[in-house]
Amino acid sequence: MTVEISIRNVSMDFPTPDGTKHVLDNVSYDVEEHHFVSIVGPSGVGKTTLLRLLTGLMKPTGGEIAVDGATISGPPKGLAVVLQDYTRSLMPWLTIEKNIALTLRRQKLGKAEIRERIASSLEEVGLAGSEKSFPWQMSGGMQQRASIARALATRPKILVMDEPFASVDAQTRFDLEDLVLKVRSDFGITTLMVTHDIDEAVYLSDEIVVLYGKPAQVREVVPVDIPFPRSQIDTRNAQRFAELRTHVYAMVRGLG
Amino acid sequence: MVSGLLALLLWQVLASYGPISDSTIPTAGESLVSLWGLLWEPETWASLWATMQMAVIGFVIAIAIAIPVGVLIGLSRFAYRSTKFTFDFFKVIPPIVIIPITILVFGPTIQMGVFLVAFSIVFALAIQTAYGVRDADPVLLDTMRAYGLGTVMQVRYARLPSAAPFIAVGLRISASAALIVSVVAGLLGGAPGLGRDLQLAQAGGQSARTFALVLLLGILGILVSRGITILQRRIAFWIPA
Amino acid sequence: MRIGHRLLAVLIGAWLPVLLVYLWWSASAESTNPYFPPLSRIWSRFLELWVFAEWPTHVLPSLRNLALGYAIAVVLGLVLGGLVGASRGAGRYVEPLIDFFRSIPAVATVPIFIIVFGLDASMRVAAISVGALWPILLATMQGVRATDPTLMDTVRVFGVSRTATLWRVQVPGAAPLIFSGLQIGLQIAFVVTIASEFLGSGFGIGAFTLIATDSFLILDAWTGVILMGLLGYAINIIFDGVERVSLRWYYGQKKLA
Repeated sequence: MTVEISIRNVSMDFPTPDGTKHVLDNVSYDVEEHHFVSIVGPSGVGKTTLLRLLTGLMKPTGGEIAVDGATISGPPKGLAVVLQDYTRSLMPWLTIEKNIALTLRRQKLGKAEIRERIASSLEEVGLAGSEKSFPWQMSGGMQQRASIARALATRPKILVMDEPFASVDAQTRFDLEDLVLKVRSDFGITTLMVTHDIDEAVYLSDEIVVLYGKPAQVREVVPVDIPFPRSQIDTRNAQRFAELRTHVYAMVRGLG
Repeated sequence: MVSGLLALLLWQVLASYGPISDSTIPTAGESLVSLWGLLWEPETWASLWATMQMAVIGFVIAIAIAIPVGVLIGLSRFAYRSTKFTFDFFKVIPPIVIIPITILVFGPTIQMGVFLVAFSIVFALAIQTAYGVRDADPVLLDTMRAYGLGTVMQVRYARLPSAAPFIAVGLRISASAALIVSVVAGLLGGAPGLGRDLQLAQAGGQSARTFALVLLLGILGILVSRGITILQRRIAFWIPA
Repeated sequence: MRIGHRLLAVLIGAWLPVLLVYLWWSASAESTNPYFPPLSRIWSRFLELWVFAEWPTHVLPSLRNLALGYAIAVVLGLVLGGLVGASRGAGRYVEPLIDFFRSIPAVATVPIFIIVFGLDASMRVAAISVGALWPILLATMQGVRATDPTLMDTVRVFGVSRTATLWRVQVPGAAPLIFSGLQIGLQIAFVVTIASEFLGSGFGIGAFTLIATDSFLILDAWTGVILMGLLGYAINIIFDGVERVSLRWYYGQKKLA
């Protein structure tokens, strides 16, 4: 078992006018390579804070986060992100292909390879041929797909997603979840997803990390032992699914 | 504050020792001395009074015309669409353009300045007012109509309140514009006031005085815009400044 | 019936201006007032001068100074505005200064430029560029500072360099705000162009008009005034068109929301 990301004793405090706010306290967890991990917890517990620490946008007040053995001090290379609000994450004045090309700049690829990556990642998410479209010309679901395509084009080693499907309607959400499963089986990228949707967490993940408490700690790590491939109709109907979901839900509500 | 002092210092050094030292550009020191001197001259205050007079009278005349006209236009869709092009046209062309004609008709007088000020703000203000009147809540208007309340009541209780923020913004912009146009009327048209003083100082080769007058105008501009903000906060505090 | 609709819309918008011009024309036809000659004579003089005989002498120099001065203001405003807006410290020092300079009516600065540069074209271009600079500079600074934090987070995680972030994300993202600054700057540029000619004489539409006024060539003066008005309006229309095309993404996005 290779550990891709190592969260060691991470604490996060914020100074506020009414004193220091302890958001995270001694959070420790190891993310295995190729695993899909969901992070769940009650609203406001600190999931997004943890996410910002994982993406290197913030530094923890205590403890450290290591990727591939090295402590990170800023966004690590090979990490891609998909955020909830795609309208504020995709650049509306650029076409889809230019949006993707922007994030590929740092890799200094040749024009042909850039074009190839854009085409193949758009194809992967079901948006083949929409290179010249603008984000605002597409539906919400399509924009989020484009956001995922952008992440994939960078051939990341780690994918971090922050409530990626919270802003789309339920029907689109199921489609996008299946897209994520497809990407998982095609590429096996180590993925961390923050979500408040417990069904979704159980449906997609290998493991679920439950954050709970004030300050938040890792309450439990729930392995999801439902086999892949999974499907919306069968898996969600399965006994084990219901058990896991109920268990995680109880943890999140602070019961049991 | 600090940056202002640094800028003045830089000016002083450059003008005294630097590449522009032997040109006609006055140093910061000379200009500030001249500015101080200006404040002690009664002529300066007379000019300030003339400039403010033209600005205020023109402003008031413009309001007296623009707001009623704007309300009338706003009430009728036909009137709004008919006048849109005309008002937009006059709103867009800068008042400086008609100065030659006003010089011919009024000569370099206070009246010329008043006319120019009024002309420059009346169109924009009328459009703003009309826009605000049109923006009244249609549900409220329907309700009033259903209760048999006529146009006058509708205007008083629905349309004017809805137009008020628009008018307030229009007034604020117009007030600053009025001052600027008043100075321009003097500078380019010869109307009395600080603008004319400025033109005379430059034509007469008095460079320190010219710079001093410009500084004075800048300070005046800031004072007036601060004053307007304070006034707005007092009278119409419910409109975001 | 869309054609009928559009025709109606044009008619509603046009009848009043047409009527006003007609009234002016007929009311002034028999005019003996020296300041308000018959519109018909103004019109024929206008055609004589400005379609397009006197363009090389007066109109082109004015437009050239305007274009040059404005271009300088745009480049400086965007570059400096971007750099200052992106740096957290610089803004605090620089902004009060910029605010002060912006409060001085641009036309009032022309005498200063005359003292510094004399009466030639360089004075005009300098006055135009400095006058038009402030709104562009401020708008760029504010726009860059107001970049959506989600957008900034995204590009940071993806490792986009700070330079690329500034010029490819922050400044383009601020385009709506920058364009309003550009529009104000253009209006100021136009006004200063004319003002610099009023004060500086020589060649140019403004210079022509003022000399005509001083020489009591009323017809010529009126044609100059009308020309300036038309040019001012045309420049604005052109700018609106450019803005609408450049900000297509912004309007497209707003329609969705």
